[in-house]
Amino acid sequence: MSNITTDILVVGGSLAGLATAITAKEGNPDLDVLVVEKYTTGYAGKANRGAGIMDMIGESDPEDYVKYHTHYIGEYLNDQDALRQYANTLDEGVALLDKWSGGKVDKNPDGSFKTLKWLAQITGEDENGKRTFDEPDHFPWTLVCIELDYLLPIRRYAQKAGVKFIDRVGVVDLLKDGDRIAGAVGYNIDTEEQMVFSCKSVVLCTGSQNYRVMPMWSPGRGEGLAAAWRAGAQFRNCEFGSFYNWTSLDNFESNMGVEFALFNNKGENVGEQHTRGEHPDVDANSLAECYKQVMAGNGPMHYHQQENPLMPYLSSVLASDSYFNRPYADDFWGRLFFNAYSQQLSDVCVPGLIGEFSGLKVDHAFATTVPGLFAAGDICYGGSSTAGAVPPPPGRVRGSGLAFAQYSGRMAGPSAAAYAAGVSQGSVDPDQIKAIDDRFMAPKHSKGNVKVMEFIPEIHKVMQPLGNSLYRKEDRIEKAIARIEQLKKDVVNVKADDAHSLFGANEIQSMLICAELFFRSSLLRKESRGWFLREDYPEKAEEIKWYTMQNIDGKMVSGEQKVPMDQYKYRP
Amino acid sequence: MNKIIVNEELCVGCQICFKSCFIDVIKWDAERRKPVVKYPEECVQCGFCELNCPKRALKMEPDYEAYMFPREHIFTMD
Repeated sequence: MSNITTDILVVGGSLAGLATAITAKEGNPDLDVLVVEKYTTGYAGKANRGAGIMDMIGESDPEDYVKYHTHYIGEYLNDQDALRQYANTLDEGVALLDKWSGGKVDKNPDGSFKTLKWLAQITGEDENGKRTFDEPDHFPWTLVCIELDYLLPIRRYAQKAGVKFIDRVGVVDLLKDGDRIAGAVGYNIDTEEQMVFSCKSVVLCTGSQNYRVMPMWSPGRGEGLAAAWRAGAQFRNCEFGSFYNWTSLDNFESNMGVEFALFNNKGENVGEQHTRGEHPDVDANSLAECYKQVMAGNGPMHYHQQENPLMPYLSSVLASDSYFNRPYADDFWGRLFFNAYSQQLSDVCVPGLIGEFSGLKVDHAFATTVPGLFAAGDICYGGSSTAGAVPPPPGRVRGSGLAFAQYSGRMAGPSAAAYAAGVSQGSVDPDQIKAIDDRFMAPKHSKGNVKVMEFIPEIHKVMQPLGNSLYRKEDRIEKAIARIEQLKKDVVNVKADDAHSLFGANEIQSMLICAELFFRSSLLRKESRGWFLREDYPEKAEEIKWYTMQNIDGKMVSGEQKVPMDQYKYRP
Repeated sequence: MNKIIVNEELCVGCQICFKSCFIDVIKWDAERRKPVVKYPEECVQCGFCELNCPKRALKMEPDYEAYMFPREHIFTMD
């Protein structure tokens, strides 16, 4: 066992964690900042395996962004003050990211950031009945592009600034002194060695819950969420954690814009109707249409790629130097595409669950409800209510994942530092450490013989179905909850025999907590709003509320908060 | 199952493939200074190990048919 003392413990070393650590350390050089990453910071996480596009406000007015987003995307479930804070400070983060990475944001010859507004809007039909499209200049944001090996130089920048790093250690639970944070417990994922961290504040940057369904989202297994839950932090907007990407069963790659060219088995384009009007990205109604068509016997669904108006944009950004100059990213995407599309045998498409459960509630300073516990990035995108009635990144605005990660890290770092500067180190309780060790190690002593990889498909069966997680109905939600309750009992049969499988078992526990929070919150929201669709409540409710969840003495206790519309500028 | 083939003749023991994996498929043999592809059944074919190897000593071959995905439960639970 090792004991490590630091002032600020940053759990997770992808973009949000690095932004947190750098801003905390640079603003407070006398405080110790330690990043603990389960794999290796600089390579780990999702932020370097996506498109690498990131939102900027650019030439637009940030207030226009707030107004547009609140009305068309968040559907008035946004914390409008949080959204305004985000919009007002977003662009300075892009400049910082460029500085930290040594210039990895792509630029024009004059040194300005190269931007792209890439979504096409249907404007009508020409005389031949073909759809016409327009550049969506009215979208009050733009996109920049970053080279995908950017996290390595950012790590080096952080190290130069004095941030310390520990790799190959996964934090599994938090330690408290009374109500406040005192530290955390982690284990080395190769040796099982226990590490006890004493610290004044913790910032969880461990990402969202993705249930290990879609490939590139595989590392998002919700352990930070579960640790925060067990520590008593409040959650909010749990019911929004059900993002889906269009995909193919031939290769599980994500496709965008499929809804423009989604055909049922009778040859009817059933997706396009949902793209009329404001359509910045895939919406729940397009996915629900897919579900309804299949349930009506009109499946399988087909994607006619040649009719997707987004394709020119996508094919110029990914695996192409025709617009952005990113040789590493082009190599990455080029290999992926070669592998994936050389195997593509049909045009059948399905929605694949990405989830992005991110309900850890934070305030405008990115503090959770547990004193000393902060969060940044995907873990709290939903819980912050910045984006309202959408699943966390992309939250119907592609490029919002990296944008929110750098923004929230820049807020959480100074907040955690200010807290740490004002408190003394709490006492670390050996009984808490023992209880954590008993819980984490229990699968080693299990009398069962179920492997981690045998158990996870049982969770998939509950989470993936569109009828459960997207187009919801009370009886199906209740059945899903009953299945999760059974899985919570069955999990004692999971057997682990090494560090890898111990972590796998811990991840399963995390998935079950997130799944139950997701479904129980879904029961509470008796309306359809934004991404959240209820077959049995198709209209919006009059009163707009947030639904919260909290662990009180081991029980999932729900609550509700009226959205303070009278204090906000924009009302429905 | 996905295959991650390591050409040990070309491998210089830099550990980059081991560090590149974001889900613990590749472990490290410190004695031999070589990667060990310990959990290939969990590989999600991101390709980072192959991409980042400075000696082109790794090849990742995806097997999409074996990929863990709830094919029978895309729309309904039962």
